[in-house]
Amino acid sequence: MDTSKKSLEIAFAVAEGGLAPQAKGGESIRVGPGSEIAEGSCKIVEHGTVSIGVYRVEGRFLAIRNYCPHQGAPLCLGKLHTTHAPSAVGEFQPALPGRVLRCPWHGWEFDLVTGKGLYDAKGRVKTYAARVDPDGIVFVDL
Amino acid sequence: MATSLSPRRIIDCDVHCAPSAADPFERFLPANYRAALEQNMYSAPRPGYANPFGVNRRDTTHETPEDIERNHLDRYGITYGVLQPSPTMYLSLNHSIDVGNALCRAANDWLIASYLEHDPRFLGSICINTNDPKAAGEEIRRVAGHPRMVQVIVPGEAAFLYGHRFYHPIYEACEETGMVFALHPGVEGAYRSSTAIGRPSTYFEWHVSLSQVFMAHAASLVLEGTFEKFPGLHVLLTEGGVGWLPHLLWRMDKDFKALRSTTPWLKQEPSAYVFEHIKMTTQPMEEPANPKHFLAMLEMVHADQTLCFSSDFPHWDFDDPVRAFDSQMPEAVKERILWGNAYDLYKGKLSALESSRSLAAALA
Repeated sequence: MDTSKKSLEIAFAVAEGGLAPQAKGGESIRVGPGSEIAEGSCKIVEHGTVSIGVYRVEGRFLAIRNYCPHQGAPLCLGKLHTTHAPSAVGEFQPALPGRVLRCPWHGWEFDLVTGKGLYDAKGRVKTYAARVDPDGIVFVDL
Repeated sequence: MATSLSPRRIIDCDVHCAPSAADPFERFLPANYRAALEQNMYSAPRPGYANPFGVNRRDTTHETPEDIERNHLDRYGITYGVLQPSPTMYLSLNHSIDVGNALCRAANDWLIASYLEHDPRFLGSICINTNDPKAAGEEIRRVAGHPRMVQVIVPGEAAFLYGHRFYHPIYEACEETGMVFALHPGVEGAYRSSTAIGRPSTYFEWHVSLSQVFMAHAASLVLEGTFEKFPGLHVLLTEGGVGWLPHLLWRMDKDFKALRSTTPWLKQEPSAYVFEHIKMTTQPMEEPANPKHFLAMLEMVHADQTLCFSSDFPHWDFDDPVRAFDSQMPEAVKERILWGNAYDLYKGKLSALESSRSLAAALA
């Protein structure tokens, strides 16, 4: 970990530079036709005890575990929004447009692409690879 | 100079001195301000709460530098005492800005001539007019070079919370000159109530409410990004209490997780700024009935990094440097409180003073 950076600079470096998990085969869940998920909205799928929210943001599908690491809230019932990157005093720099999920219980912020928590250096939520097959069906790799 | 009763080294961060009829600070006021004083331009808002039994101890005197040396520094073995001159509190808010600026300059010249030049154990606090931050910055630069001037002192009462950018010229001057920015209670309630709701009924209630004022300023300084803007700034909360800090740290860090995007200049948890930039003085030391609670509180506030001893001599709620602390307090923590933390805070000046003390001792 880069110790010259403060904790929120580390968090944003991870989120802004990070990629969504890549499909690597193995077990997957069928989410359903991509056309069912409108831009900026989410479909929640269950697999055993695991609940996953699948979003469409700027045309791509992103999957995140529907469980807040703080107190176990259903994270995907929160709202998507744009946050502010660490900045100079008195400045606002909009960041991660439309891809920050705010937990419905205590308002903790998570980047939908990387799962990185935007409140400290370490916190994060599991994200999954989402892919669309030639028939337009969305799958999430576990 | 009498020898100390204790081999300990002690820095007392809150010792009061006051001008007297024999040594008025107005003698340092330029002649062109004398008529303004006669025209009642030496007036400032007051809170209206006086200690019903007198604010000073009845068993001691502090009329002259010699009184403070004999009755306090010598008696308790104080290595350095940081002086808070009594005019500070009301001059900071003098109704006339120009007369206020002139009176602050006079008070600082008086402190240097009557005290700092009198005994090398006296360290000084710069009096400034908080309602004219530009002039305050100039005054800080004018007198901060004195080898025993260590900090700027302001009252808890102010036109704005201290994180407001109105005060940035003051912080710029503090950072540039290495002066600590210290708050001390004085006239809380002069502009508005010292509580967030309404005016207290008694001096008792007013005195208890002072910690609310300090909490508000501490949260403001941290959340407005003051320490991102002025990374070299250090703040000392004098006589504002200690036990409220764990609550504020935990509440700020919890809220930060949800509300950080409204203060994006904060690049780390609020508590991290507190531990890097804010220290507190001990007196009036909280005295829980169960001594274990006191020790737990010390741990919660990282007392070995944040707490600096203060006596508040000669005021009624004075703390003795030995008797004020629980005997179960770990020795290493006691050393940090009595000496180490304040030494770190004033290191810029104290390292030079300590070198000349060692040299003098070697030559003696």
